[in-house]
Amino acid sequence: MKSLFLFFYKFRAFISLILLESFCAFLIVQNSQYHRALFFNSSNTAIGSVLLLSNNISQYFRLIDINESLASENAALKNDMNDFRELPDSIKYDSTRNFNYISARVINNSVDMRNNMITIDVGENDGIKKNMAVIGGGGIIGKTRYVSANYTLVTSILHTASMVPAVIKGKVNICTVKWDGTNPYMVDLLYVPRHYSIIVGDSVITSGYSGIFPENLLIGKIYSIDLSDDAPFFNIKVKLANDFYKIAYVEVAESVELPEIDSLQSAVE
Amino acid sequence: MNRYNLYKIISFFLYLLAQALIFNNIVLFGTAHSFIYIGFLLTLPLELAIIPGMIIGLGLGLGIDAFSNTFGLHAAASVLLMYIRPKIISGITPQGGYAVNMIPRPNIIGLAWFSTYALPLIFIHHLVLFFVEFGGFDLFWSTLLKVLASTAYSFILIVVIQYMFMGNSRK
Repeated sequence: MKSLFLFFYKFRAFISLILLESFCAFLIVQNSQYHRALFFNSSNTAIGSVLLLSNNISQYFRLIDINESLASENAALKNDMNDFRELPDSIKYDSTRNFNYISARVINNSVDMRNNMITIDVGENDGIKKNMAVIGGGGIIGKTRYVSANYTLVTSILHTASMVPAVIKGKVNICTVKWDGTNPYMVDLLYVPRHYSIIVGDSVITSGYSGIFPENLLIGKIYSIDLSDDAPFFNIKVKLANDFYKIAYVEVAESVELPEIDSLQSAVE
Repeated sequence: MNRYNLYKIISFFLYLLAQALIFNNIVLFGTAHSFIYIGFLLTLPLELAIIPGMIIGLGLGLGIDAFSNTFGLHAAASVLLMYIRPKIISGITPQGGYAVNMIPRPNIIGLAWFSTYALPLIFIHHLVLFFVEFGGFDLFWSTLLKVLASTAYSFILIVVIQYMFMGNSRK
């Protein structure tokens, strides 16, 4: 028994290293595999308020960029409105709204890591729930993941676990957008069968299949197409519509239909 | 000594906030990250025992993790750094040994000694950090480039901070 204690005493540093590192490994795995945060993250109230305070200051230095992106978004929305006005009256529109939008400010944003997260300044008190779409400026941003009372942590599209069902406008109905972890301006477009004729510059937009993202939102434009002789699918790079370095204001899209779809699906299962 | 402890506790939080609010946002060319918070761990007293050292590393690492949403990543790298630190310190003991209560800061102990001490530790810390973050060895070379560029960047900033803000006092 004494020698056992001596053994532990002799290797106490190494044993505590193993213990502490296992604790860290547990935290890392817990987050990536089971999608729940045991430990606090930046949606925590104390950390969120520090980030908000710092953002209040740093925002002043970016006002020009923010104004520009809001102005161009306004212009795009006005163009869309014109499209609707010019439609003939005889077509009746379904006036029910599928999505409600909640405006939010980005208070913390990472772009250069491989698994990037964004913190926004709205939470449960503003009606945010888990797995809502986050969109902004030119296109999609990500999906809400951890929601606290006043802050929400968003899994960015620039996260290796993000997958978004997509459509190549007018051509391919089912494909998937995924980030490979290197260039924050480009994402991969997966599962486009080789018999389609696609060209550089085609728009990639969201499909409504997940029920999370609104339909017909721009993701980006095809930047390069590559096809090896024996591959069943194209190798496609898509240039993102959003510059993730510059996002400042986003909207969270709450699906009105999603609870109904979910309950229907769970009833079938 | 009490005054020294108070000073260290305050600088712990200053390093944490500086990293979380400023240096997390300064990434050169999307490649070189600066993790200046390890400057705090590197300048802890030479005599600090290994286990308290690792616990301080864990605490600071978890703080950084909470701000940058990396869940244990910085903590893992910092604990390993604090485990290796005493081994490097005893490995590069100068002739005649260290002075009592020596603080390993470049402006006290000399830049040459500090470089041989800090560079391997920063490199190991960044190596663990980026490869665990990438979850494997695909994209090996681009990750290694990130590690090397970040090591140089962090080292330079840590030394500059020591000379600029910490004065010449023996703290």
